[in-house]
Parts: sequence; structure tokens; C-alpha cells
Amino acid sequence: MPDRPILELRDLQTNFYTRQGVAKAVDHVSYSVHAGETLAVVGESGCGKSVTSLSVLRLIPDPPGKIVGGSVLFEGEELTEVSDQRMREIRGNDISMIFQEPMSSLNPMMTIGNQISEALIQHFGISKKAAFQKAEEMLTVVHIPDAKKWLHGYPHEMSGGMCQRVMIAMAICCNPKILIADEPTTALDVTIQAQILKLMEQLQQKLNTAIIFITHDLGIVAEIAQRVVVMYAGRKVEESTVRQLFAQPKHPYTVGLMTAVPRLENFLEEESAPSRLTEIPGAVPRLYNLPAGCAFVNRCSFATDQCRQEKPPFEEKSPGHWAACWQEIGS
Amino acid sequence: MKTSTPQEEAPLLEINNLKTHFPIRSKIFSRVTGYIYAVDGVTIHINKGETLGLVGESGSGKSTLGKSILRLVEPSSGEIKIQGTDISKLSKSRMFPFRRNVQIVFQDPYSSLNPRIPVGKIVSETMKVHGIASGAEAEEKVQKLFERVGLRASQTLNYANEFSGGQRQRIGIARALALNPKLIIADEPVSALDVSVQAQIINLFMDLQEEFGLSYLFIAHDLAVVAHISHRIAVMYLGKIVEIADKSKLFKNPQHPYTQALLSAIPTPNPEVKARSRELIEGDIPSPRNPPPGCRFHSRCPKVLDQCRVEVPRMTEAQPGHWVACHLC
Repeated sequence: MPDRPILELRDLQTNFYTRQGVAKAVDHVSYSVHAGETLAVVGESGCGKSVTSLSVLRLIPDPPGKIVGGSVLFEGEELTEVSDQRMREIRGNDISMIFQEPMSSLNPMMTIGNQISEALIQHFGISKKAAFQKAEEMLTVVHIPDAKKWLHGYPHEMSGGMCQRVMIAMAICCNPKILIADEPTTALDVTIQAQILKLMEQLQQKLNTAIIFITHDLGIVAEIAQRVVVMYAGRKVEESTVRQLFAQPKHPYTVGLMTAVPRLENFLEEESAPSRLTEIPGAVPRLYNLPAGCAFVNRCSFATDQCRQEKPPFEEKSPGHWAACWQEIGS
Repeated sequence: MKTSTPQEEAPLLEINNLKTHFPIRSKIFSRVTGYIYAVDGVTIHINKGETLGLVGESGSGKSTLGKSILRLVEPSSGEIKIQGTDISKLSKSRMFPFRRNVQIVFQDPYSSLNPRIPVGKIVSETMKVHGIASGAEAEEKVQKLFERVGLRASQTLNYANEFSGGQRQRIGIARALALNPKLIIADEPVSALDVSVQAQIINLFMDLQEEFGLSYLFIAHDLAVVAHISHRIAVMYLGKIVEIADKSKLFKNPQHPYTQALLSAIPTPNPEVKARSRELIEGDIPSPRNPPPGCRFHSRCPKVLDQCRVEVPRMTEAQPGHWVACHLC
């Protein structure tokens, strides 16, 4: 692995100014990813995992949102300060993104071929004919049968899995150095999900792309990522390698996420009667009204007075394993 | 809460060869030009106090099956027996007393509650319609129900938009419970919820089952969730049940190639078993308008034989209590 990461976020802060107050959707978040590596960003809805990646691409609607601090370094270039013109060159070309809902992320009025070739014409300045040829190639790469026919098809004629494959084709047609995948398989069936994950893995090996994979499914994390960042209420609460995280989670929220999900291997054992799951009480707090100390304090069974009053620092609990918690969990 | 004495032997719900076909009409003269074979010959039963899990990909017809049982969509043929009485052909008024026995909890808690009525009234309305309680008595019952499902009694006056997804699903469950049903059809009740909230709702379902002796038909695409809550599991593919067995048998020894593919497609939350080889199935589920002849899974099956392309496999009992529809088994 090369020493310098291809993308580095330092203390990134994104706020949303709403009528109810200021929501710190991204609150001093730092992470980095190297070429050829897969970083998983984990958390529930409202934890800021999507807003962080949208901030990287400067796709936050302003107003109400604004990047108010921190930096995003892409190959040493400061993305928060570059011109809009330069940002457009980077988007889709160097860094591209796959969105969660394949059906609503494609333009229903444009043919598949036009949508894919748009980026190619924009970034490479090639002719439409050449772009269509390349688009057909890309559709074949993502295993769409009858690629030539589908160039003239529309998104509504395709199934969810096919739309997602088109999204991937669009995202990788310019050979991006970084691919941000925001819950790319959440709307899909497990059999299709397995196909898409395998496809992404193959493409990564071929192109040495860095992948930032945003998900709430720990099963997917275990399967595809090398490192993982866990977010809660706009803050990073834990970061480590995937193996370390599953072997010994250090934040109560991560522990909660792991025990709240039923596991299939438990049912192989014996004729077990249904048992209760361990729940995390309550719900994710509203971002404009966070507790003074740790954001997880109201749902945490380890909470003390210190947790209520002071924000826990993000510190290295064991080599390479960071967490923001006052308590010593899982040691 | 009074319950009538249950018949221990006969299953609570028995479905025989149920078919629900939706006609496709031409644009001009509305002539029927074909059918969508959404549910095509399903036979299942659910015992008292039992949870039957129903899994399958989107488009497999599992939601249509759930709605057909309630006759929210009219089945085309077959029998639906509730405690021995076939309700599939009853008139609306004769059907009415049976409705309170079977209730449904919907998938999307955001669109299944009327936004203009206080949530307490949504729940008490069903009581009034069925003549269980009205006025102050109904109000009191609703408040008790709200507390039972983990909400505050004072929240009955609020509107649906004031609740989070998990809370709304609790309201949906309270509404289903209001009539003191014997069977609840839960149609993907947790798939719209975050993992931490999902666990709360699954636990609530299980607690209520123990308390009231409820039976569930639990429909979901997430096998781990279904496995957790169910006693038996049925796997559905393109309108047909392909395998049905006790939970542990199904997971330990899946017989149908489709069940095997479904199981191996689920990511395991354990990085140490990463290198496991998986049997991926190619392609998408075919359209229920033109289901493949023979075995419906043959177009994606890795073990397909010539026989599978022409002959529809029948359900056979591979082991006691373990039924599978496959020529290979």
C-alpha cells in the first residue's frame, strides 16, 4: 500500500442551517483511503455518512447546507477551495459516485446510451459515435445482456438490478481513481446484491480503484472492506481494520449494531426457539439538539456522568484501533 | 382479553392451491390479453401460536399472497380456511365477522397511516366498525394498547407525521391488535427501519405472540430476520412455494437450488470466513406474466436438467416436515 492516501478528509465540517437550528451533519470527520483499498463507512440513517461523501464532491445544496471547515485532499489538491470548473472536471472523471436508489437516480427521459455517453463526451471530448461504442463496452463489462439493444432503452424498462448496473457503468466509464458507493445494494434483492458486490470487486482489481462503501449492513462490511469507519450523529465514533472491529468492537454503538442484527449461523446450531434480540433503546437524536457530552449517551448502557458532560476524545485504544468513548469497552 | 377456545388439531389457517392472477387488459377495448400469475397454486398452513416466515425476491408474489388471504386482492381460485371455514367465496357481509381474526401490518409505516386523523382514532375506528367498543371505552382501550406497544397513552392525540418510522410501525401493530386477532400478516414490517429500531420491533412482535398466543405470517426478503422470528419458513419463487420446512432444517439442509442460492448470497458478518466460495445465480427473476415452463427456476438454476424445462416439479416430502418442489430432490 502506498504511503500517501489518494483521498484524505481532515476535520471536515458540514452544517445545515434549518429553522429548528443548526444541524452539524458532519462534525469534524477525518478519514482517508488508499488506491485499491475499500473503506466502509457504517451508520444508520441520519448519522452523516452520505452527507460526508456528498461534501467530498461538493454536492451539498447551498443553502441550507455549507461546508464550514476542514479540508478534503485529493492527490494533494484541496477540493474545498478549487474552482467550480475544476470540480466539474474531477466529478465523474477522478471521483465518481453510485447512489442508493438506482431507479430514481437515472434520468427517465434519456436513453441509457445517452446517459452513459454524456460523461464520456464531457470529459474526453470524443464524438457521440465513439462514446456510444464505449458505452456499449461498459454495459458488457457490467454484464448487461444485449448491450447494443439497451443503449436505446429507457430506465423504466429495466429492473432495479439492471439500473444499478447501468449506474455502475456510468460511474466507472471514465476509470475513476475513487468510487463512492452510497448504499448501492440496499434497494436490491440478496441474489442481485451478491452479483453487484462481485462485480465491484472485479472492477476494483482491474482498475485499482479506491472504494468508499457507505452501508448499514455489517455483513457487507465484513465481506468487502479492509478498513471501516463507524459514524453516529455526524461524528466518527470508531475506526479500525475490519478484522479488529469484528474481533473487538470498542464503541458501545458498534457493539449494539452487531448484536441487534439476527445472525444466520445461530440457526444452524440446534432446534432453537426464537429468542429476543438485543435492542438499542430509543432512536437516533435530532442533529440540532444533541446531548452536551457523547451523542450516544441516552441510548448507552455504559453511560456515566462524565459521558453526559464531556465529549469523549477520539483516541487510539489499541494499535490502529480508534474510538470515541470514555469507557473501556471490550478490552 | 378473552379468546375463544382454540381448536388444537386443525390449523388456524389453511390455504389450498390458492391462485391469484391479475388480468392484463388491452388499451383500447379492455380485452383481457393475458395474466400476471402472481400467486399460482400455493398450499400452506399456519398453526395456532406459530410463525410461518415467507421469503423470496421482489416479484415472487409474497405480498400478493398475504393480501389474498385477507381478500384485499381477490384470489382467482383455491381455498382459504380460517379455523375450518373457507372464506374465499363468502360474500362481503358473511366475510365481515372473519375479518377481525386476521389483521395485517404493512411495510411502509409512512404511507399506511392516514395523516389527517389522530393516530388514536385510527386505532379506535376499527373497534367501532367491528362493534367491540366505542366512545370512552374505546379510548381507554386504545391508550392501553399504545402503552402495550411501547408508546405513551397521551400520544393517541398526535398525528402520524409527529412519529418516527419505528413509532409508526408500533401504531400499525396497535391497529392490528385492536380487534384481538388470531393471525397477523406482517408484510415486510421492519424492512423500512434502521437496524437498531428493527430489533425493537422484532422483539415486540415476539413478546406479543407469547402474550396473546398470536400466529404470524411474517413476510420479508431478509432471511436473517425471518429466520430469527419464525418457527417454519416457506421459500417462494415466481408465485409458487419451492420449499417449506422447520427453520433449522431449512438452514442446515436446504434442498432446493434456489434456497441454496439465497442462503449463500447473504453476506456473513464475520471477516474470518471471507474466502467462502459462493454459488451465485445469474440474471433477474423472470416476469410473472410469462413464467418459464416446467420448473419456474430452471432459467437461473445451476443444476438444471432437461426434465426441469418441461415438467413442473411437484411438492414432495424429502424428510418428515420438509417439503420441496424440485426434480433433483
